[in-house]
Amino acid sequence: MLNKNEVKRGISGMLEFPCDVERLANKNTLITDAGDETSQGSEIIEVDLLGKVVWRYGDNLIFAHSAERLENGNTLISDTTNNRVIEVNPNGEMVFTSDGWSDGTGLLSDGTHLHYPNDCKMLTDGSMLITDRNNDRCLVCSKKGVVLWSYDFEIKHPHNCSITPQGTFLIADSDGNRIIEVNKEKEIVWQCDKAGGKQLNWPRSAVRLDDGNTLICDSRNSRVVEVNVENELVWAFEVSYFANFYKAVKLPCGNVLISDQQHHQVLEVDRFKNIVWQFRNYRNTNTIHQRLKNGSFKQRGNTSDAPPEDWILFNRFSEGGGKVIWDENESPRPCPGLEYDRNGVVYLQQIVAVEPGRTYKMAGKLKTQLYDKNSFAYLQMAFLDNLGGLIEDASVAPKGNMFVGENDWQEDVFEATAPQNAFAAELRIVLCGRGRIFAKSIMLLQL
Amino acid sequence: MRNKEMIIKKMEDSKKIVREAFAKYSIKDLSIAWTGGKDSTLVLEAIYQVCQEDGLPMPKCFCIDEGDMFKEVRDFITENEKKYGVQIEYIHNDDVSKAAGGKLGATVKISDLNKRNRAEIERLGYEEDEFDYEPESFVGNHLMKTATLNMYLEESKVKGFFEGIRWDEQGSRANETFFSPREKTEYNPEHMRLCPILHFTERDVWDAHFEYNIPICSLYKNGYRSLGARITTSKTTDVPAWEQDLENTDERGGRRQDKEGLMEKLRELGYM
Repeated sequence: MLNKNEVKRGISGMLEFPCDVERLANKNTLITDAGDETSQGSEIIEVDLLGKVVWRYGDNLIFAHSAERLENGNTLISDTTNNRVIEVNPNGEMVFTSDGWSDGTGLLSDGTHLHYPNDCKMLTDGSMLITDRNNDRCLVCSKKGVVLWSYDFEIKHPHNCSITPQGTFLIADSDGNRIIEVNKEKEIVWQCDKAGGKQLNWPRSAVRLDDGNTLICDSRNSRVVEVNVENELVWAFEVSYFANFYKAVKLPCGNVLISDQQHHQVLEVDRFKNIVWQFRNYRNTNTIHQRLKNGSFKQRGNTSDAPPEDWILFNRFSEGGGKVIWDENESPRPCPGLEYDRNGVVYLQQIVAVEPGRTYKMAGKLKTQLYDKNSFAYLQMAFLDNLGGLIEDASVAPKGNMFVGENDWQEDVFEATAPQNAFAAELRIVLCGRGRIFAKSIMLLQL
Repeated sequence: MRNKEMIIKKMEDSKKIVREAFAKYSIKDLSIAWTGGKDSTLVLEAIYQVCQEDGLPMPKCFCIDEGDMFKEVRDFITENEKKYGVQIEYIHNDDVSKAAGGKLGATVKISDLNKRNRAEIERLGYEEDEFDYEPESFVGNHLMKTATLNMYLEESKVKGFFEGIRWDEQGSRANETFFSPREKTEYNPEHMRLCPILHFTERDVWDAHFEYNIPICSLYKNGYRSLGARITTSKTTDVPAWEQDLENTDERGGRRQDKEGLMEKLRELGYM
């Protein structure tokens, strides 16, 4: 039986945040679900054409980004926040983990550890091609962890690397906003940073097609583009909403399979851009409050490190860190806060229903102790559409003052108008980077 | 004068909005929110020009006194009421200032307030028993400005009022319309917000002041760029507002930090 404040999370088989996707030989689709906003529910699911989940694996995965079905029937998974790659058999037994490298230390032969691997592929010779995102590199290593090749020259947070029929490597240099093709000698032999006259914005996958064209998932532009070797745009699938597509692959029939993260779905589109297949079984398990609740934090959670009632700890992007803390000495009552020690972001959040076109003022008091110049905190209202997707990227969504360094209690107020397609807003107390913050008197006014 | 024709054109467009409003509503049902600031004084000028040209009486004027007005602003309004042929009505939330003993910074017990003000506090989701009487705190601002305005709208029964907001002020105003209808809610009657200078930039506003010889409150000459409550409005320079680098600095200067560097960092993190 669930307590009042508990939500059933990590629902088995429910697709929350799709990353990698591939169509299998048996016509089923293998989807990597990175899980929900509280870092639960990451799993690999195999669905048939009717949308039935026929296989799943989710033991201890945190924010997994990729899965590949191997010829032997096993599945190779990049288990991102756990900083490892694993292989599981059809019975769900783990038959390999990179945690076992170097006598259980997980170290590669060069003495480094995988850090936030976003992609892993098995090459024909049995070695693995891994995109090691937070180490800003792509590498080939043996199953025993011996590094055979790596590329780490001027790329930033790559999400995907694939090998072409010619044996070159296509790298989605996401923060570099470009795709590069490098040969074994590590020379750039081709690159693409714009398509159809528009700069790529955070591309997260690229695949070389049989005819020499390249299919690119241009995430923040919410489009998938196909360019030829001269970088001319030959095909594009673009949507009007913020989709933040993660992966796009071309099927033998010419259709394209796309994972749409914001709308929690996988789409298959034909050359005419008709959606010919879709998998979506999402429902938001968070309560959508009619109005802000417990903004004064009078109701605490069940345990000392639980978020206040009606709030959740959003740690999907916190790379395994981040926790709720309480200042017990604050008056008139203890107040909650966040403590975080890495480079990502963590927040306290609740979702409140909004009316399109209405203006909202969010206010609250923050106290901050931030440890370096790259760390900051702020309040935010991120609007959601009716499919539960963010209407715009959180880096541009309405936010208040960005607090840096040490601040005693300061009140911040900002306002934002709900777009015409908004139906709710995620109200957030955000900590980005290293430090601790406390919050009190969060308020929301509908004007 | 930069681009005189453009300023004249913008002013004529504003007057068109005023005339449209006059065609839609009886003048006695309209009101002007005049704060003494540069934007609302420009609105007042546009309305005055229309009334002069068309032989019409001026609508009534009100000013929200949040309890911490600059003397210079009050003097400025008094000096110019005659010029524009209006008599200002100061509106004020007496119930709140009484509960605070008329003292800024004093702690107000919510139980001492009337039902209306208590409802306005509840609306915010504020759950404490008391708050500090500071006009620019969220609770204070809401009671002293928004709630006061709502009470005025109810009592005066006006159908609409003119205000001096602009598209370039802040992101959330970018989608405002010249005629911005407000539905009836629990807290305010149905009314129309009339925004005739939405299309002016901050620079245009100053250019228009010089083009039409519109009076300017002395605080702007002394370096204030935007006028709010006395204790929370500061200036960072003695340079007159219109000579400051309007295009590259924040109008509500000093309050907000430069976000750009951090925004870039946020984007780089690649977090959603």
